[in-house]
Amino acid sequence: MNRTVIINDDNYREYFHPIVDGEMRKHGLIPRDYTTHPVGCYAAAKPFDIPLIPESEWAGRLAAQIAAKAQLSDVRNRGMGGKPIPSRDQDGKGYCWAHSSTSAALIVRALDNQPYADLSAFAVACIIKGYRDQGGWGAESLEWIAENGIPTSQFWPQQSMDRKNDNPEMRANAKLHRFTEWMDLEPKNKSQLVTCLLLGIPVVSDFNWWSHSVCTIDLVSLEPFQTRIWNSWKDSWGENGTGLLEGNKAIPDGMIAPRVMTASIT
Amino acid sequence: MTERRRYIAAGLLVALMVAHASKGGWHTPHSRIINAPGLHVMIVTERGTKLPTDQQPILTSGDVRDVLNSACPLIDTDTGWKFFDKDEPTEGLSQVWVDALARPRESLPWLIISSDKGSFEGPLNKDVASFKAHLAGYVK
Repeated sequence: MNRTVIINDDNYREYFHPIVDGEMRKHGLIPRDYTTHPVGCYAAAKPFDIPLIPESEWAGRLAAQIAAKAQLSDVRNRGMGGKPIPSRDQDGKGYCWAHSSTSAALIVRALDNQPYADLSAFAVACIIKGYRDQGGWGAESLEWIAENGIPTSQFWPQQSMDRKNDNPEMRANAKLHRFTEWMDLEPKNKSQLVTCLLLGIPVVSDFNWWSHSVCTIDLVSLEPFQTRIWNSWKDSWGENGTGLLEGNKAIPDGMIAPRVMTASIT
Repeated sequence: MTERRRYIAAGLLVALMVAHASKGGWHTPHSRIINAPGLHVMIVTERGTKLPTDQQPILTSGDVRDVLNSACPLIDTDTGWKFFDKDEPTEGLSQVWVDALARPRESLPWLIISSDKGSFEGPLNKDVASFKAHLAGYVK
């Protein structure tokens, strides 16, 4: 397809089960229940702990970011030795919630200029769900990644659900790619979302209306309010794997913002 | 104070003035801060800190990254520039970066440039243009 996708209140139903490359794409989000999993319940995640950027500064900071080509999509587009980092591919499984956090991990590594590591989200989802094709939410995968890490495809091939992948070598490799700092944002909190994006922090975003979890990488405009999300439906979806969400559709129901990972050269 | 001591004091003062860069940091001619050949650039910051509007984009600027990618050497699969968070675990890093991160810093964000033409360590520049101009002085 490779064209700009803008999803808003008028057309969002078209994106529930789109066909990409002849295949129906899946989602997999189970909405996080904030009564049983409130903000701050995850041991490794602090509640949002940075000063909010006042709304009066949003337009100026966004203009400066765009003028300097300093959005996270600019980082992603150079993150593999100067070339774009490939989008993840959940391959028709309900594992969006592990791919959104893995996409964020790729961005955090690229922010540091760590060498590209072809991280395999299937490892995270398969182990958490006992190799069943089941849904989840972003924070679920982040918590696991903070403790165990994500292996590269050398140790857990992309889209593989083979139990033999889970071996000591894979576990050792995964430990090289762990989140060490991340924030648990309040659901639907637009100010926290915008602050993260203006400070160059990716946001793992759960959208209940879409039953989907993706990684929000850019604030695109304020009027109308638009964000750029990085999907896990391969590069052939939208514009090199990314699309724009508009208005209410851009405000996630669940948000997690990873800031720091372990540094590694592989 | 004897005349000899006066000469020594004046010499030290001149050396200090040469070493102190006009950008607010320390420029050391003909010596590398980072113990590796070629241009190496490191910025240490605290991710999530709100920086001034024009300084913030340095950390994510595509233009800055293009310049660094072309100027810094590729060593095996790793390149000669890094933007670290101050609390980033270092166990997976090469010793070059571990040593650079261990150097004392007076503030954040903190910049180190190390090259065959000299070195700099001090506060990060105020905007993308001044950072690129500063960097150009160390590129062959």
